[in-house]
Amino acid sequence: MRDLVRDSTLGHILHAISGGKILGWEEDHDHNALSRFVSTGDNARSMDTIELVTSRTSESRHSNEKPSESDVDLGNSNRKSSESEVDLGNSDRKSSERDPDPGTSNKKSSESEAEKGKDYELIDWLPDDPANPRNWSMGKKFFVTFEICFLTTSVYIGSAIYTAGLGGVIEQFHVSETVALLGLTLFVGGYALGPMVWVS
Amino acid sequence: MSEIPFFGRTTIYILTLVVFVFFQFGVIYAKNIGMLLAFRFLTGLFGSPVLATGGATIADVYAPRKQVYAMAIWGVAAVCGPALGPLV
Repeated sequence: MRDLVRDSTLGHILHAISGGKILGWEEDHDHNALSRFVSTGDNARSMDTIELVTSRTSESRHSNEKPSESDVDLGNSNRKSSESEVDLGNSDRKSSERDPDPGTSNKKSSESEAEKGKDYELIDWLPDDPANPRNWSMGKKFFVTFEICFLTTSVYIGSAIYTAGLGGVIEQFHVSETVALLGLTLFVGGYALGPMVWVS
Repeated sequence: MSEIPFFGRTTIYILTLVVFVFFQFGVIYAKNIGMLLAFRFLTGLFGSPVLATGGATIADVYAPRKQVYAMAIWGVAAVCGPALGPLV
């Protein structure tokens, strides 16, 4: 439940105001909490780079698989084969315009691996990650679903409620019924065109 | 805009909801029919994100086998809206 408040708008505002003291993320209290995400042997980066890298999971997935190394260093390094590992030692990642070019993205991978297309890194959930919505408790899932349903209903009600006040509109603005019904039509037209702007 | 990971879907939901409420005030205090219609269109425009991506958000929360049940409930909520409008 604490997570729900922390992720809400109020939680973000409190977090920003207090500088991480109230409703902080675990990285605020324990500066080593992120060390499990950092692969050994690379320059350890701060949380800024993690946010930068995880913000690009949807567009490109760079893998830094080195099959020989990962087979050998099973107990040693943090680099697991396919689970969420963020390679923070790559200074090229700071510029997003170099992102689509897998060949030059990672200085550490050899040329031949880049050419074979093996220099991508899969960023995925950790196993049993409490931040993964699939792992939430049923109560939390129901609450979030209820919120989404309520918001959907309230927007749809906004369109239907207008018909109750149609007579008042006709009387107040002295227009015909057709023009007053435009109020309903334009609302529906608006939420038909809205997703083109907001979602894509 | 919600597909850009920096924004995410929740930010869009909250921001457009706030703007939605404020534009409804514009509808209330409209001086003429043109103003009313313009604000109605704008409220529709700003109210749409949750309608389009609410299903995606719900699908993220539930495991694949349970997604059907959650989607059905969301569909009920979507249809109940226009049905209950004149009642309210």
